[in-house]
Amino acid sequence: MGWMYKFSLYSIVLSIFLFTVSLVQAKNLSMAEVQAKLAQLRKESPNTKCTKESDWQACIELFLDNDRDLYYEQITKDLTVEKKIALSNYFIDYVLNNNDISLDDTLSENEKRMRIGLHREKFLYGTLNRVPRRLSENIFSYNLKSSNFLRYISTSDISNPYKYLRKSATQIDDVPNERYGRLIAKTYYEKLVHDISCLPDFYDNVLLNCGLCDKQSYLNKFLQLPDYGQNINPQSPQTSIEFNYIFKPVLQFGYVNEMFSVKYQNSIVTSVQEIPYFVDNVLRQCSDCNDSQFYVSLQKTAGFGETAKNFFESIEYRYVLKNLSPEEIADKYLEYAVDGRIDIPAFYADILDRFKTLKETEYYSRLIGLTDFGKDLEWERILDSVEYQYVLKKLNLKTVLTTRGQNYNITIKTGYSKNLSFEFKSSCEYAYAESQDEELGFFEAIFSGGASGKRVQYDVYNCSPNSESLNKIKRISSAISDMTAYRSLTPDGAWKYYKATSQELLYNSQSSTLQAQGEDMKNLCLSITEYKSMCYNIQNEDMKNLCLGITEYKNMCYNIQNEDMKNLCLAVAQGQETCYFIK
Amino acid sequence: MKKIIVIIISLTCSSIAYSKTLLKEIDLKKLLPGQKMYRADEAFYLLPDGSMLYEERDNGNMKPGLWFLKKATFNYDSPAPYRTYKPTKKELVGETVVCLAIGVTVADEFSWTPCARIYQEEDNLYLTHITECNIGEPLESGVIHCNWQMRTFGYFRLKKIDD
Repeated sequence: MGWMYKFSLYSIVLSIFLFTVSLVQAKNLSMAEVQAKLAQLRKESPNTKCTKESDWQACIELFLDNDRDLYYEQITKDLTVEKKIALSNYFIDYVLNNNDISLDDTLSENEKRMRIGLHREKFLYGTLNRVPRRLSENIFSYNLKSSNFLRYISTSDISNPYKYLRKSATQIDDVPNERYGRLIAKTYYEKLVHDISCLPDFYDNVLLNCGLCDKQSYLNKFLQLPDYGQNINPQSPQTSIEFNYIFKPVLQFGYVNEMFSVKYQNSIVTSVQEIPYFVDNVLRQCSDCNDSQFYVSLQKTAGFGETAKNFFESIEYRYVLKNLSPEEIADKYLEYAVDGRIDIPAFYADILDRFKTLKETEYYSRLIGLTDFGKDLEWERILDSVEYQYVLKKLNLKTVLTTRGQNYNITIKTGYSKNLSFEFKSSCEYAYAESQDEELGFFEAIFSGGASGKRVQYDVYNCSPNSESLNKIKRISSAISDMTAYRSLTPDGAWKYYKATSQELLYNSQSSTLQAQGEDMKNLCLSITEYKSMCYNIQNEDMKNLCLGITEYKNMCYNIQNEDMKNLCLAVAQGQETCYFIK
Repeated sequence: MKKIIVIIISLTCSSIAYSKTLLKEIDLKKLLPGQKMYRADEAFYLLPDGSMLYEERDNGNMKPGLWFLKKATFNYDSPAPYRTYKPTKKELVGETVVCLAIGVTVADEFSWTPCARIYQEEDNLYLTHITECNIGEPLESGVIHCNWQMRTFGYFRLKKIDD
């Protein structure tokens, strides 16, 4: 009976199962329904949405759900470039923003490595902004999985950023349009090149091997590095990093322009010895340089002209000055090669004879201004001197004779800044002694303890030139066609020489004579000058004394703003030395 | 009681006998196009053009798919992964399997996909040995490799899709 019960129970269960199955079977779809449903599902499929409607989420699903590398390329082969970029960006963001992807067992090894690579890229670059830019610059062919870039950055044994970036930058692109080297070099530069010292490594190991990199752009960037130019040894600039890793490559690749040339000059041309290399290799290559400006600025090079004594053989002339005008060359010759009168003949031969357009008269002033022009020149030998032969004999000379103590002078006035003076000895004989009361000078008055004047003792001599001197004066004066000085001599040539022998201070009791004499002299002085009101503030005696003693008020005393007027005042006042202490 | 036991034994023997009847390529080409292949929780509508409608029968969800025949290795004891496995000459010829790719619309979307060897049990009842096969990387003879060590078994019925 129990067996029957169990059998009945099985039968009931079986009946329910068969009933259920029959119910399910009742949902059979016809062929038309199946095809309609399939058409609908295909329309909604990720493949259709991705390839036809640019539904990037659908693309991601497709991409992540399969392990065939070629799939990405196939589903995107008909997409426009813009859509490929958008898809790539979407994909990258998706991978980076979904941490659970790395835990997904359905991911292929390639996908997992790519994800690691993207994270590493994010870590190294610090921002994802670079990724879309990388894509927009056609860095890779939009086949993410097979790109060299991802292959490199997902290689686990390359953990050192330097090593990784360098290797990526120098890889040989084996897929058309892949340009990772360029971008990686850019990133390497941005992240790892902080100062000039980083250049050798970057240049040798990255830039030189990056065939697609814009080297000119990098070389220009190098110039902006913060410590650029700060460690160049002026004694050996061509051993600097700047020279070897910026300027030398620029020359090698032919990127020379004006900006670069200016930089080169300012940084590397630290001495005259650097000028030949600059002119031969930089200026000669420069396409847009204004050479004449460089020839001017090169003259400011340290030491320029110091070794140009041998003018036409010098670096200065051969590389710079020869490009200047004759006038400028002559100026530089005078500056660098003419130290004194001994060089005057060479100046005529090298410059004035060579450049016929130059006017000799333009250079007289410079030549006469030479330090030793006329120095220690003897009167008797003046006609044979360099000064006379090359300069003086071409001038309209004037001679002036003046006495000076026991002797007298002849001054040859050249008409330029320097005159030549010659002293002649004379014969003097004592005649008599004489005393004279005089006012005190300013400092004398201060230290005199209240003295009102001084009394000076003089020995008076009668002087006259000897006959030998007179002959010399006459002979030379006639040779230079000016007898003025000779004729100005008195018939006997005599003059008095006052030699002060002693002096004593005078006080009030003693000064009446002086005062009276001084007052007379003053009145004399004032009376003979019709320009007195313009010369001195004589209405105010205190002011006059102040003016004479303290020069800071001199403008109130003399009309010295007008030099001619002052001279006039002095000239018309005979005996000026004793009238006023205006000297 | 005896009768029941006899019935059970005969059913078992017949099952074993049918199970040894592996359907060949020629059989499958005649049998499968236009058929609904189903069991309690799922159904495969196999269209003659190679497309497929997959139905989850318990909730009515449907997905597109593809079905196709392939020659595959058949050594159930071969190790995985297949790269370390050297098939025999006989295996390089392969035996026909039915591959059922669910959720895809073009062949390039997948490589590893479930494929089945089909044995006829009785009338419209069939036993399938199902495992993952590597469509994307066939062996040198063009035969695909299937990881039979990971196989599962399932009974299906076939029914012609009504016009």
